[in-house]
Formats: sequence, structure tokens, C-alpha cells
Amino acid sequence: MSNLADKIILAIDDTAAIRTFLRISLMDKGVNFHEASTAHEGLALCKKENPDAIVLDLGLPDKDGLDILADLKNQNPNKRPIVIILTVRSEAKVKQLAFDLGADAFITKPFEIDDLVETLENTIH
Amino acid sequence: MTSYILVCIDGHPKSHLLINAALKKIQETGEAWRLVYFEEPDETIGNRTRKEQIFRLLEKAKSAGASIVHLEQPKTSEAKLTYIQACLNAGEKISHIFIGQSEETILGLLPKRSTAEKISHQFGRTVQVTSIPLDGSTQRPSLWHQLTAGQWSWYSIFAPIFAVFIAFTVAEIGRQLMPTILYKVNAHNISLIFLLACVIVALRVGFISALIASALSIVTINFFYVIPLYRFNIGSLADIINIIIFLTAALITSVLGGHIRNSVDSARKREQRSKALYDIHKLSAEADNDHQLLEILDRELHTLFGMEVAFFLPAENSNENSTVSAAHNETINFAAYPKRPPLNKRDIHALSSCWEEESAAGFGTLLGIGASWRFELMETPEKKYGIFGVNVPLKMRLDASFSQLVSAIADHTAISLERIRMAHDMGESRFREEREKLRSMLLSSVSHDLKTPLASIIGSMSVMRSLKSTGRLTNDQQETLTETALEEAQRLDSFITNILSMTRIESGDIEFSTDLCDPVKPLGKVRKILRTRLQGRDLNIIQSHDPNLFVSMDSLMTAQVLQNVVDNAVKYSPTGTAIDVTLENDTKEFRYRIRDRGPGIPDKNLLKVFDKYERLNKADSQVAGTGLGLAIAQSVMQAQGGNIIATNHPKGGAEFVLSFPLTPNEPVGESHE
Repeated sequence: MSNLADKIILAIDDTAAIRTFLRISLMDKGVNFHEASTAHEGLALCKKENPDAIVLDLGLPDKDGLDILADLKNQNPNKRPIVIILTVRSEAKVKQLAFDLGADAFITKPFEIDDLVETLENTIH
Repeated sequence: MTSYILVCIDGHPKSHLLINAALKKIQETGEAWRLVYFEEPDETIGNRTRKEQIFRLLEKAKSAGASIVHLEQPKTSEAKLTYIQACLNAGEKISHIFIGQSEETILGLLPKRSTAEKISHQFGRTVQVTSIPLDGSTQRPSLWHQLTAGQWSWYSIFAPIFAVFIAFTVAEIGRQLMPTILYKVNAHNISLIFLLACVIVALRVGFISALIASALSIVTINFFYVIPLYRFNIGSLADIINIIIFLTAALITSVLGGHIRNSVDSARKREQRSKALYDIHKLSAEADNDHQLLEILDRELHTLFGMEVAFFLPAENSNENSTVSAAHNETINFAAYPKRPPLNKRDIHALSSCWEEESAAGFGTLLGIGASWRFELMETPEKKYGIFGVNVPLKMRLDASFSQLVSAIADHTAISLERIRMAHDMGESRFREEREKLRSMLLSSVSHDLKTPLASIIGSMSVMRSLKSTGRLTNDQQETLTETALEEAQRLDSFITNILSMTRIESGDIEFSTDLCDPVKPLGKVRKILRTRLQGRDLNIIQSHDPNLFVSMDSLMTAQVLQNVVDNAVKYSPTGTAIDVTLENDTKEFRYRIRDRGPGIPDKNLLKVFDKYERLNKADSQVAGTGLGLAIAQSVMQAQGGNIIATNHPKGGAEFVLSFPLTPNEPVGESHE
């Protein structure tokens, strides 16, 4: 059984199709899954749900994902969520910036679900 | 401070002896040296040869490493003393003074102590002074030359006649108005009226004219006012004395007047020159290409010098009419600007020497002696740009600053040409850089637009495979994942179509059908393609147009435009809000109005939304695929002869209006089924 069972995971991505397949896959692993399509919505859900991990897209319609990364990490001082960046932006400097801001992993779109699941399993404890 | 050797020269024709002596000394000691040229104001016509000699001497000294100082002083002998004293007072170390010793006289009669002797006497204890004997006196222009400076014209003869006539008229009026007795008592004062006329002529016209006026005055006075009246008569000694006194008075006032006039002329000329130079600097800063610059310079310099000027730029094409090719060397060709001036063999030789030797050539220089043109190289440390030429006419007054002026202008022109070249280069590279930037941004935007749907497809399919392999894939999950992948595949297809359309429209490689069709039809296709995108929303189609109207349009391309615009409305309005598409027409055009219920578009961006590069300038944080859609919509609409504009609906939300012109023969109210 995956160590993801009962973990709270929040997906912030404006593409409905991505959220759909993440939901199907992660819920199958027993994850307590939440989703948001904007940065604003994502921050609110993060505050409410205290997720163990956040899957964050950078190209959000209201804000750049990098702009809310630090806020997401520091939302709850007792529980800093794992943040995995999911983006089509593959430039090295974006990647470096994401890590500097506290990201735990960086996955470039398109990707296969197994890559994401594996990354989540390795980073969540 | 290191010491230097000072050489003082004036206009003496044998000044080269001084320079040669100094050069010998310099070769021995290797000291620095300074050549000071004291010039007396000389505005005479015939000074060309003397001036050319001096120019050549100055050039020679310059090429031998001298620093040149040029001073214009009314009395050169006093100026030399003052200058040396000033240098010593300023703490400069003069090791040796070379000065010419020539005959100096008082009023051309009594010999007086020469300047060289005075300098030896005054500075001989501290500085070694070498006097070089020079034959004869400083060749300076005669008084006659100085006074007759000026151009001859009919005015010079007519003016004194007119002045004397006026004096005569005034005298006659005086005689008529005053009682005869009183007038007779003051008859001698008549001569004062004529003297006044002579003074005015001297001041306004010149010395020669004043002389003519004096002679005419004497004749007139003698004829009309000296007894016996109306006859020329020099009978008594008194008459002769009168004439001599009048002539002397007229001569003195004329000489003084002529002097003043010359000084005023000279000052005015200097003033004009500084103004012209200032204008040249100002105007040439405004030129943005070579042609414009040379045109400005040619015009201004022509006014400044009053001589023919020309610019010679190395020509790429030797067949042009305006080119000048050096006779002995066919490899140098110059394009002359403004036009090819007539150059003789010596001029052409000087021109090519100027280019090859990279120094001034022609008139007044050591290169190309005998040329009437003066050539100066226009160069900067970067590049030789060309040659600036001035044609020095035979009857031309020059001063020693002529060489400096020509050289300064050549430098200025070269710098201006360089500025233009650099500005041009910078513009070019900026343009290339900008274009490269746009290209790479477009590429990254396109790849972003393509990768997003691909990520959904790959992700969905990989989830399906993963679930299938564990045997936990439900029918519901399978259906959702398949639908998602399909929808995203369609989105990908529409992106690709958009990109291809853009390319084809831009290259003009697309033909639009102009068939008449029912404008409702394309909307059906849009609804079908965007079915899943529109889930949870209402797409209201409001048909307020003439139901029998057929519009000339390319229905496939129009469907694509509508799809892009509706898709854009979906992206920029909150989930669940309705989108209205209104169809309407008047006699001139048919319109689709697509309105969403989002935040609308800021007024300043209403035009920018159609710019395909606009989104590229923003961060990547915007919704995928919005960049090209509207740009394509605009291109397609314009290519079909229609138009698309973005506005904000009065009740909120953005509204896009697509309009198609209706040609008069397009049937309205007639069925085409």
C-alpha cells in the first residue's frame, strides 16, 4: 500500500483536465484530494485543509505560482507542506528560482502519472 | 615644467629662415618648441600669396612637432614683448627665443630700435635670444592696399556722385532759405556740408569712393560758390589754399573713415563666422543620414566661407558621374558632394595625396603645391571618412586661422559622420535583437500552448494505464479520462490549426471563399467543438438579424474566428457565467457580438489584445493559448474584408464585434435555400 494513503494533497492548476486525472489517480491511492484553479482559491484551501503536499502549477491566471510558493510553505508554522512544481516551463533559471523559494521537487509537463506518484512517495514522510 | 624653444614669426616673407634655424637647434637638443605667429589684421585682397606662404610654414612647423599659437594683434612688435613677458610670468620655462631682426623705421624715415634688440635687452639675461637678420622690412600691405580693401562695384562710383549731389542740394536749399547777406557771410560753411558728404561716403563705402567725393566736391564748390560764379577758376592764392585745406581735411577724414569701416567689416565677419560655426554644430546634430548632413554642411559652409566647398567620399561605384578618380592611381575613386567640382591636375594630385598621406593637402600646405583647392582629411581614430575641400579663389581675403578652421570643420564632419554611422549600427542591432527576442518568445509561447494539452493527454492516458494494470479501473474513470484526453486532443488540434493559419495568412498563402452563407451555420460548429469547454455555461445565440440574410464569408474560417473569440470569453469570465452571441445587421453590414460576463478589458488594452506579441510581453502566468487566437481572428477578419473590434459592454464584461460588409446586391429578405 502506498504511503500516500490518508495524506491531504492539494492540486493548484488552472487546466481542468490535469486536475481531473490527478484526482482520479491520487484518490485511487487513498489520498484526501483537494483542488483549486486559481492562486487565490489555492491559498484559501491551503489555509483550510493544512495539506501534507501541494502540487503547484506556475501558470495560474491570477498570479504566478512562484509568487505564492513561499506563502503556501509558511501558511501553517506547525506543518510545512511539501510543494511539487508542475509546469511547462523548463528553463534552468525558473527551476533554480523555485528551489530557492522552497520547492521540494520540480516536474516538467508533460509527465506520466507514475513520475509524480513516485516523487510524492519519496518526499512525503 | 619642461623648457621649450620659442619661435616668433610675423608676416615677413623670409620667416622660413627663422624656422630653419630653430629646427637645427631642436635637432641638437631635442627640446619641445612653440611657434607663435603674430598676425596683423590684414583684410586686403592681394594677400593670398603671402598667406599661402605662412600657411605652409605653419604646416611645416606642425609636422616638425611644434605647437602652434596664432595671435592677431594690431602691433606685432609690442605683442611679441607682451607675449614673452606673459609666458615668463606664468612660470613657463623658455630656454631659447628665435626672433627675426628686420629694419624698423619711424614713419619710414628714421631707423628705430628693432623688436629683436628690445627682446634681447629685456630678456637676454634669463633666456638665450637668437636674432636672425631678415632683409628688408616686414612685408606688410601698403596703406593703399589696406584702404582699398573691398569689392569694386558701380555702387563705389555712384555713391560719391549721389552724396555730392545731395550736399549740393542741401547747400542750394540753404541759400534759398537764408537772407542773402547772412548767407554770404557764411559762404565758407558750404564747404563743411560737402566735407560731411565725404566723411559719410568714407564710412559707408570706402576710401576710393571718398576720394572721388572729395574731387567732385572741390569742382562743385569752385563752379557754383567761388567768385567768379559758374566758371572754373583758380585765380588767387586763397583759392589754392582753400582747395589744399579742403583736400587735406577730406583725405584725413576719409582715411580714418576707411580704417573704421575696415575694422567694423572685419569684426562683423568674425561675428558671422562664429555664428555660422555655431549653426553648423547645431544643425549637423539634427541630421540623421549622411546625405542630409552633407547637404546642411554644404549650405552652411558656403555661407561661412563664401567659397566653393565639396565633400569627397570614397565611392564604391566608380561609374558614377560624380566620381573623381585620381589620375595616377585608378584605385581611388571619390563620390563628390554636392556635385563634382572642376578640378585641375594639381588639385586631383593634391586630393589623392591628402587621402594617401593622411594629411592636409593643396593650397597652403606642403603637399600638392599650386593647387587652388585646400583638402583636409575627414577622419576619426576609427576610420577615414573622406575629404573636405575648399576652393580658395584668387581674390580672397584670408587670415591665418583659415587652416585651423578648415581642419576643425573636417574633424567636425568626420565626427558627425561617425555619429550617424554608429546611430545607424545601433538601430540595426537593436532591431535584430528585438526580432530575435520576439521570435524566441513566440516559440516559447507556442511550445507552452502545445505542451499544456499534451500534458493533459499524456497524464490522462498514463493514469488509465496505471489503473488498468492494477485492475482497479472503473468504467466511470475510464470514461472521464478518455473524454478528457479527447477534449485536450481537440484543443491541441485547434492550436495547431491556429498556428498554421497564422503562418499561411502572414505569407499570403491562403484563399478565402466568398460564398454566400447563412451566418448561423458556423456557430453550430463552434458549439460542437467547444462542447466540453462550455459545460456548466450557457451559450446564448440571439438572432436579431434578418433571418433571410446571407453573408459573403468563408464559413470555415469564420467558425475558427468565432471559436477563438468564444474560447477567449470562456477563459476570461468566471465559471458558470453565460456567454451571449448576438447576430444583427443593418443595410451596410452584418455583425456578431460576443459578450462575456467577466471583468472586461482595460481601455488601454482594447487594441493590444489583437497583437500576437502582446501576451509574450507578459509573464507566463496568463491562461494558455490566448495569444494567437485573437491575433488570428483579426487577420482572418481583415483578410475577408471585415473587421473585429474589442469593446466593453455597458452592462459589464468584454464584447467583441465581428463585422462583415454587405455589398448592395447581396440579397436581403430573399431566400437562397
